[in-house]
Amino acid sequence: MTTITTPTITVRILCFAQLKDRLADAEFLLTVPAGSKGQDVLRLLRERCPRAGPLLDVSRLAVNHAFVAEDIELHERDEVAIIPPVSGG
Amino acid sequence: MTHLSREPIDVARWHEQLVVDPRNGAAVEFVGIVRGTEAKQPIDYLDYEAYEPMAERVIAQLIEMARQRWPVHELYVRHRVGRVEVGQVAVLIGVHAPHRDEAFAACRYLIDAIKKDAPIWKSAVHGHPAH
Repeated sequence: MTTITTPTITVRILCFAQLKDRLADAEFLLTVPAGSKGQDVLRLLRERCPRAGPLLDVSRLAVNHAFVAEDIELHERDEVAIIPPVSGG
Repeated sequence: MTHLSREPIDVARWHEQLVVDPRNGAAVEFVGIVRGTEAKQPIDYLDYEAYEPMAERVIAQLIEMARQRWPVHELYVRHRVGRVEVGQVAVLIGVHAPHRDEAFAACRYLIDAIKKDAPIWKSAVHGHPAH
C-alpha cells in the first residue's frame, strides 16, 4: 500500500504586541502545504483563534524582515511576522 | 543594535560625539519624550517592544530614502526599547544639512515614517490611582 503525501514546508511565525497576547504565543513553527501563501497562514491563524480575527484584519505581513503582500508564496524556513498596527515614536 | 537602544538616550552626550562638519549650516532635531498620560490616563511608564532585526532594517531604509530625497549630511535615529519612564527620551532623530529647509523636511519625514512603518509597539503601564 502506498501513501500519497503532499509536500509541505515549515515556516516560523512571529507575533507581536496585542496579537501575541491574543494568540497566546509569540513564536511557533507552522507546517503548511508547499505553495502556501501569506494569506493561507493568516487564514489558519484566524481558524486557530477566531478572537484574533479583527486584529489580523488590520495587521501587515512581513517575510524575512520586509513587508510583503498577502499573496506572497512562502518557502521553507521563511520567517513570517504578523505586524499589528505599530505605535513607535 | 544600531538604531534601537536598551539604554537611556542621553541627548547632551550624543551632541558631544557629533563631528563638526563645516558644510552644515542647519541642525534639526526631534526628541520624543514619554508623556505622563496615555489616552488621558496617567501612566507609570511605557514599555516599548520591537521586532528588532526588522525595525533596524526599516529605519536604515528610511534613512537611506531621506538621504536620496534631500541633500543632508548627517542623519541619526535612536529609538528606545524596553521600559521608558515618564519624561525620558523615547526617540531621537537628528538631521544636519547645509540649509534649514532640507533639515526640517528630512527630520519630519523620518519621524512620520518611523511611526508608520517601524515594527515597534508601545504599551502603557498604568499606575495605581492615588488614595
